[in-house]
Amino acid sequence: MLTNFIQYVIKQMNRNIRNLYIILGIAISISLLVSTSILYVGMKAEVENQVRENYGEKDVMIGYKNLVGYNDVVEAKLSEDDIEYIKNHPYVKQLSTVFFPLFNESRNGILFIGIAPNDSFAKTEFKIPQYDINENEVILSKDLLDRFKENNGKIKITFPSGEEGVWTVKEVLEGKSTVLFNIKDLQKTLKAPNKVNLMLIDLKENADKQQFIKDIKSNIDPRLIIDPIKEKDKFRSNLGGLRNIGIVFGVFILLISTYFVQSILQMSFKEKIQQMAILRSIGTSKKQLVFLVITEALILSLIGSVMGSGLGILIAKFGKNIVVGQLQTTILETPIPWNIITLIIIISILSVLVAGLVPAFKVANIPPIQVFSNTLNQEYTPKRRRTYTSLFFLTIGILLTTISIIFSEKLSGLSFIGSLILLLGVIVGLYLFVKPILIGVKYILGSINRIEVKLAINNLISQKVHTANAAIVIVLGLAIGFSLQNLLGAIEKGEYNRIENQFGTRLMVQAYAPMMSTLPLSLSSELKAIPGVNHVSALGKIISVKTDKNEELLVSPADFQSLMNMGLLSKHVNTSKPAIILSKEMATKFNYKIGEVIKLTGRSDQVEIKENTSFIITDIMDFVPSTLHSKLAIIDWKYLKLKGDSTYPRGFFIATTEKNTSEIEQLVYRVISKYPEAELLNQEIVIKDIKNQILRMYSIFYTAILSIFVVGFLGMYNSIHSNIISRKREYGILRATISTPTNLLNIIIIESLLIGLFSTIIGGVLGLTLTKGLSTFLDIDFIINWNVLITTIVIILIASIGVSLIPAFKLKRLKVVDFFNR
Amino acid sequence: MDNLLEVKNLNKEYGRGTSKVKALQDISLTVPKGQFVSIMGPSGSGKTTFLQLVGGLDSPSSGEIIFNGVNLQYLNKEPEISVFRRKHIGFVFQFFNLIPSLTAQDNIALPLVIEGTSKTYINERVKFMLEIVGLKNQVLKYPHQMSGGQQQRVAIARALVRKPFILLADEPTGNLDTKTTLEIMELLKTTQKELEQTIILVTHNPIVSSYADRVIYFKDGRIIEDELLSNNKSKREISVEISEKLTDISGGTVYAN
Repeated sequence: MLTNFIQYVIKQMNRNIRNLYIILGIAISISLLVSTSILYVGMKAEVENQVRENYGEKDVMIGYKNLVGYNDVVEAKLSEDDIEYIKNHPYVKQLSTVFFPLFNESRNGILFIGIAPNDSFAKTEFKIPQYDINENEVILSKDLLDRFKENNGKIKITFPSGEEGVWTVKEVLEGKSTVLFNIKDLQKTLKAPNKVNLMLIDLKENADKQQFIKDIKSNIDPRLIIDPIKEKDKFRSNLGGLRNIGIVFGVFILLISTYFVQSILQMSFKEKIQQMAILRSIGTSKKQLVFLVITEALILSLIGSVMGSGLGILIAKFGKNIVVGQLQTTILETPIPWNIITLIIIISILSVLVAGLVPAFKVANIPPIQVFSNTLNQEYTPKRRRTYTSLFFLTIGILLTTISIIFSEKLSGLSFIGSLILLLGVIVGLYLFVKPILIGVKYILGSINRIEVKLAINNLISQKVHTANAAIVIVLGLAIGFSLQNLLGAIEKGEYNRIENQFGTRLMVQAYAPMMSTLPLSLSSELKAIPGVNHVSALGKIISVKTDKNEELLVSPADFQSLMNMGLLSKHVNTSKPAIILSKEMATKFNYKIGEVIKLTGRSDQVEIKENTSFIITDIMDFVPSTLHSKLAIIDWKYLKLKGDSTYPRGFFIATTEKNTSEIEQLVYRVISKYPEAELLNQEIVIKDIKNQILRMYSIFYTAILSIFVVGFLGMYNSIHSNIISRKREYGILRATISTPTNLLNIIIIESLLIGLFSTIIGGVLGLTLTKGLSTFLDIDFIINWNVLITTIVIILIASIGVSLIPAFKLKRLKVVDFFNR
Repeated sequence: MDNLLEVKNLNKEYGRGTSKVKALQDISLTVPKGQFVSIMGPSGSGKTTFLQLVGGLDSPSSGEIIFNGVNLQYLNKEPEISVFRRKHIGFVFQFFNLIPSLTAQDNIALPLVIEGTSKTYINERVKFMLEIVGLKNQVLKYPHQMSGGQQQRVAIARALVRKPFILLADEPTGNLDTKTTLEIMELLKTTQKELEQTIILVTHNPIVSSYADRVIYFKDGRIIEDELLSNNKSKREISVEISEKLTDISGGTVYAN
């Protein structure tokens, strides 16, 4: 038997289906937040691993990089004061002092490095075992072992300056062209005692790198070169881009779930208001009522949080493979960030608590006289304050959006904030839109002369607050879900277009072993003769060239006009001038930008670059097909001197507008079968692969959007169901006066359909506004995905009919008198 | 007999200016302990308003309500009035107003649970009340599993479980058929006798009023007649008399709703 109040709280919760919705809503929301945060932490850790793998622990390198040549080494060195200053800088976590005599690594391709025997940071950095390198010992890479190995098993190294010595090999490394010495040993050999000319610095986690560089530059030798290892920051910032999208998602999920839970609690309390009133009538104090609501909210949010966290952890564990595509690697671990999860749970409990307290105080303040009368379900008239608040938000939202449109380039953030405030204004004053929109619908549906339609529209207009309450979840879900979907669609489309531009739909015939073999030029006309082939463009044999800055490039000659005809060049190239297209890797390495001029010199057995030809960089390739070299550049071969040999092409691009390339592939196979060194590649596979990578990258966000719609659907069911049940008496009057059971069923269904229609009109417009705001803010093309919009509207309309069926049939079966019974 | 309730010059007005309505005018009466009073009158006569004022649900415009020596006007603020209501007044409604998620015994136990009474006392008292209202075999049934009459029995048991000074019933049989109405009235009569329970009941039904010791007739916010019923007449005879009196009072409209 019931013997205490807590038991009462639990017992009355036990038999309420709405509690299940609340738990589900909380669980779905929390699972999304938890899984996203786990994956984010995992990705961040993995990115950090990759950064360390690729660039080492160091964040900054300080040294005398521009002093080329061994002879300068003695003059340029870091003084003990300099080292001390850097060591004591507050941003420095750990550092290594290194002697690096041949600083210009391209000079003869070998790196000679002296490190302190007990310098663990340097050892980690150069990936060598953590034991000491003693004097007369070296650690060297595998490729140098044979080169320097003497008969007695020791190695002998002769430096470019003439000094030489013999060392014992302590360890052989997997890397290339590196010899590590004991620093004292190397300084002694090269007659540069105590010389340190390079420092590797690992900064503290929250250090301001730019400030650190500024401090060093202003306090030490201005000739000192500081390499901030920008690639590392770029690599990290890629994740940063994803993080911003993630944060936008997180905020939206939190907003939606809080609103959703709040609306269910509101609805739940509307239904339970009579029950609360009974409690008041038998003496429950206001405090006890508030306690009841708080306990209920806490229990619900705790169950939801625990379920959601567990589900989130599971999703993250299984979902990590999806994210693998985005990083092109594996996430080795998905550590569970308990601190973030705790924070999410606390926020969730607080949200539910706040959401629950509002109706609790409402119920607690019901005058006892109302408790005993039948006026509890009376129509709620919105306060004037609510209308003014809505109008205020709407005005500010429109103002900000207009300003952002006028000054679009400078104030992109305003557009997003404006659209959010607009959304808030519409949500607060949704009932203001009920009448004008439904009158519009009535006008459009004027030709349908059915009493049910007219009654349904009039009912909804006269009960505008009920209508708005029923519509609010759909409006919010549709607006946010649709805008996010559009946004992702735009991002994806942008990515796809970029790839399509670079690869197109085409085949590639290439000589086997790309660097070595060639194919006859005559193959070009044979390929052109194949039906379905629109263009063929030859790609020349790769030659090694030097820039005027002495940088080495691998260049593949091609016919630019032909490539342009095929749509292979993503930007318009002026073929009347010598042009060069660089791979992104090369452009980044040598810090080249589009529009810069490079002078090239170089030759091969078959071709030679015309003397003093200056090439303008016309494009930078983001993606290089895996069949080509990533250090590749392409130049127009009309600026090459040919040596009369027609066998220099190493490949041909074949462009076709046919969607299905398999037939053409068969014909190409037949043509190239007489050239054993020729092989056929289908770039379509490369495109598909990259598209899949993109799809995988955003799939987690699509899952989030889907969940928003699921949560929205639950909210929709809840609000429409409650709307119908709470108006039972009103329907009773209809039944008692003019309508048959079937009339009533039709009226209820039409009403729900109209609520769905009203919601989609408002939600769709808001979704477009939000999309515009977000795309301006994130600098993404504003693309409206009409297919998605129309599909969503149709689904919502069908769903709004679907969710009304159960309560509609329930009411249809009632006798007239039952409508007036509680 | 000691007076449990004393009402002096009670007035209640609603609205202002031209829309002012005098719901009760100068009502004075006393109710001794253990008396069963029925209040009758046409719609809008002020019956329910009177019940609400006596129950401390609303405050009078003027006049005094004295309960067992306690003047309600000195309690007319929260939480004192709520506590007084909880301890000393039991309510029964036309709609039974049970908590649908609780069983019969839990619904009856609820007022004691809210008060924080001991477990043993709750068990004893609920058992006793179930016996009084004749629901010993329905203890674990939920409201939707019970008939209207059974639900009203639970509601009466719940109203009496805390031994209130007075039981206020507003049309307690308004939602029940004739047979069940008579059963419920028998039950109320039994509780009046066995528990010495004071009852004030508002009804339109002369048969229901025939179970009372005294009938007070209201019209336009005033008491028109206050009569003690004779023990020597049958219920049928009494109800016929009441019906005739009502017809006179309301100008022919007895069952106006």
